[in-house]
Amino acid sequence: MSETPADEGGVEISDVVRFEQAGDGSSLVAHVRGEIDTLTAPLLRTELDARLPAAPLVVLDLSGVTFLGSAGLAVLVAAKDQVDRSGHSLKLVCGSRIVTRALQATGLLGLFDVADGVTEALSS
Amino acid sequence: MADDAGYYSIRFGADPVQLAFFRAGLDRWLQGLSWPEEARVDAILAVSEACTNAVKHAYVGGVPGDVEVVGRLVAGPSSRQIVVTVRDEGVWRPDQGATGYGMSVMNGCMDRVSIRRDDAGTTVTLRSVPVPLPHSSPEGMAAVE
Repeated sequence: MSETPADEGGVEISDVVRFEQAGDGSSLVAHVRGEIDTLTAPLLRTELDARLPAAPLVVLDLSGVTFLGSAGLAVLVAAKDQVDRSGHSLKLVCGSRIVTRALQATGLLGLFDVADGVTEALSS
Repeated sequence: MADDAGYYSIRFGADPVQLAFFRAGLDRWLQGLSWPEEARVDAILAVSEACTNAVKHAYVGGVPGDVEVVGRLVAGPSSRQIVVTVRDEGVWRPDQGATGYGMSVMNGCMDRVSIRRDDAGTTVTLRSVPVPLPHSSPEGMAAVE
């Protein structure tokens, strides 16, 4: 991973997302956390762009997300597009009401394959 | 509701860093009104988008100004709503990438959203869905946790 110092607003990558390999290395779990808004979304986008292409199965674990704004929604849709294009699959673990609600209100929830938890997302 | 808990006002610099602080303050106001969680989440999502638009688009290439947010509680005989206005003094930029989702969030989470633009800037007015009046018990305030 590249050593990017604190981005604008003092937001560090580790404040926004942490990656974990799962299974035999064929799956990638991205634990996203905090508030994903216009400030943090570009950072998340850059990280996902770099890590997603290699994994046949990507699980976006949003259970640590406390706010999801339109910029964050755009990142999720871009991730989904990227994964679809390469014939891989992406699963979403929503967690909190605010995440589910943001996806629901925009009609985007139906685009995603949603799982109740990371374990379930990896096993199905 | 004659007390000032029914009124919320803040002015902050048009900087994305401010948005998280703004949301926390809005959340405290709504918690203080014992706003039901589902409606509280909706209000935070929607008002935050209006503020994000103000911060992101209103001052592009111009002098960074302030965003002014005023929230009012409107209580009727059987339900209550909040009406929040988000005002900026910038020049509205109609076409900037992800704004589509921002409008969808606002419209999906609020009862009514209106946008008024004039020479002085842009005002977005958001009216929440009606929520029940706060539960009044015979013990009155003693019952409030």
